[in-house]
Amino acid sequence: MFDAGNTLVWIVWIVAAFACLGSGIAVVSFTNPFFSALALIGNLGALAVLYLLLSAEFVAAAQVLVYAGAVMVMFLFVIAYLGGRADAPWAGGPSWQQVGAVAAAGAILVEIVVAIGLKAGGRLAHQQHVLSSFGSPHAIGRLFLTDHLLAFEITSIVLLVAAIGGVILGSHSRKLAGEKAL
Amino acid sequence: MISKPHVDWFAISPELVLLGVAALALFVAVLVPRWLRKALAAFLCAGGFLGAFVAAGILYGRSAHGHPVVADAIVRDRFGALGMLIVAGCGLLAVFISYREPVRNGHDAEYYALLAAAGAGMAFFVTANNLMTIFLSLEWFSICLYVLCAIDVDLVGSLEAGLKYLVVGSFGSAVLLFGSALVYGATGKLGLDRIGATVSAQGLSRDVLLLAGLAMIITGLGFKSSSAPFHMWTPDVYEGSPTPVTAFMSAATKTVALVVALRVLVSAFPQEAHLWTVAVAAIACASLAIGNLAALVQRNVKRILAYSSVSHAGFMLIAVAAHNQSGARALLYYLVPYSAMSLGAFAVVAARERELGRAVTLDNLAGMGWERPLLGVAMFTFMLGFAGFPLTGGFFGKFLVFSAAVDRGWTWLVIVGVAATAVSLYYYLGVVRALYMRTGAELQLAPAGGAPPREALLQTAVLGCLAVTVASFFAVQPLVDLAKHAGRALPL
Repeated sequence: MFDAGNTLVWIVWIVAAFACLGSGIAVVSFTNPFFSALALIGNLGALAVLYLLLSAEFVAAAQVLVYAGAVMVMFLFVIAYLGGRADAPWAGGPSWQQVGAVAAAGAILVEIVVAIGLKAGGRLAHQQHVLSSFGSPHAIGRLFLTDHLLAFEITSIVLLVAAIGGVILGSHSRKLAGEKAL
Repeated sequence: MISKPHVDWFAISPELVLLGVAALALFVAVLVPRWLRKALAAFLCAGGFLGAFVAAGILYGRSAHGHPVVADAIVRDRFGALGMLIVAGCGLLAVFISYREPVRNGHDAEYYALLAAAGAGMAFFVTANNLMTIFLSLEWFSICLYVLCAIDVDLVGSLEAGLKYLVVGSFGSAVLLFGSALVYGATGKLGLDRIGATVSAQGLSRDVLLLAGLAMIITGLGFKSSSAPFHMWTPDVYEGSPTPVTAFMSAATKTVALVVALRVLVSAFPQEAHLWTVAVAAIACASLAIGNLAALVQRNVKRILAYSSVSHAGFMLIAVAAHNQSGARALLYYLVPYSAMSLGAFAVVAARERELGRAVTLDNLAGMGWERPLLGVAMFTFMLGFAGFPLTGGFFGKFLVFSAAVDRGWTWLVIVGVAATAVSLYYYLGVVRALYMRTGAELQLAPAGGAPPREALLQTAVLGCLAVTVASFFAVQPLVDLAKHAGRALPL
């Protein structure tokens, strides 16, 4: 039995999943921060495709607009402003710490894959019937104001605190730069 | 029309007081003349922590029957209220210790704003009742602490400490988040008690996804409580950060991480207790071994105290692993004298640091006991308290922890704890030896220009810590009763 729609979903899923993994590895292995930032855009875009496959259209759109769009433009701007100083994360050959970290990360990866594989019991795709309102801005907004009211409010405080912290540390470096200029 | 959930404002009053104070301190940073900023911001921050302490005390009194509030996002019970009380007390003492800390490049008011905001985040954290609020409040106070660690850019190692804490702390948070996602994937629930109910209703207790998530949640909280093998950041961050920040972190962060670890494990994973008790016991043993052995070879006093805090995480995790009422009681009791001793010991280190203008080692601590009788006696008491001597709360803390392990039937854990205590005597008494048993002639760095000024606020804080340390020995019964009532809020 051949289901064209299902096959298409599988192909899109595989492409997006591997793009996600590949760009994630690229982010940490590029020596030039500019390329890392570009790879991060690819990573966020691939994640947005995965969200789309899960019927979360609003989250996918927000992901592209906010993260792949606005936030990453800020990243690239800051990198261009500071001058893309190339770093060499793998300089001097692999140390035992790097080998250990890669081995531990591989072990966790295997653990997760085995756990999800066992849970799925061989059926890696489930057909789930969701309400047509699922993932819509309306449904998400309702959740924010009912079940997750406090979490929603806390998020704004977390972001505010992070912004204030960034300003405090940033004004330090500006002051230091000014002193150096004098 | 959306029916908004009922908000129990009184249940979040300590957080609101602290957040309000943080906002006011930020206004002070921009609107008040420079000469008044520090004093006003510190006064506001101290007032905020005092207000939060009083509010948490009233909350404790009026929350005999714990129940979830604000759409089950947080829980109002005595367990959380006692956690808030400890955090607010730590914050108040931290303000006193911070006041005369030099430099900070004019960012005094912002410092106190972040301190109050961190306290508010911790207060949310101890009452959080679902995986989402747990993660968000963890990030909230962690971000404040990252900035506080790095705030003194001119201090050697402060920026490095902030960055190290940021990288390792974010890693820990990410592991916690991944674990939460797996648990949500397995059960479809976010609320702690609902996870437990779903697991028992659907017989998911051997579900691999749930167990992988549980392991990751334990790991994530292990990073925050700096228990081995997740402690690598602790010595460097404690050493590099401004000492008052270290004092606050060592007491308050550890308190909230352990309190939340107990709440999460007991409320959400009672069916898996046979697994996580063993895991927590193993982490406790690792912390006791690594913390105590690594502390033996340190010369820097802040690093000694950092490793000592790792080993104390081990002691308190024994109480978590016991998985019974006496364990909850022991943990909550032990946190009170431990926080006081930790804050006090770092306060004494801060005082010495300001006298000498450099890092405090066992060598330049020499003779301090004779030069500064009050600080010397206090440090002496804190060291004996850490080691668990009578006449300090540390004695009953260790006693209650060990009796909880015996109740559980894990005598081997008691043996490990006693052996670790014996090893720890070497470095705790090493500090005491440096304080008293060396002559002034050995002192290599005489403070130049006569005696440095006495710091009334810092000495008040040290005196307060000393009072709590000793009082928790003599007033053990009332404190144990407080802890017992708080522990009853948990489904044990």
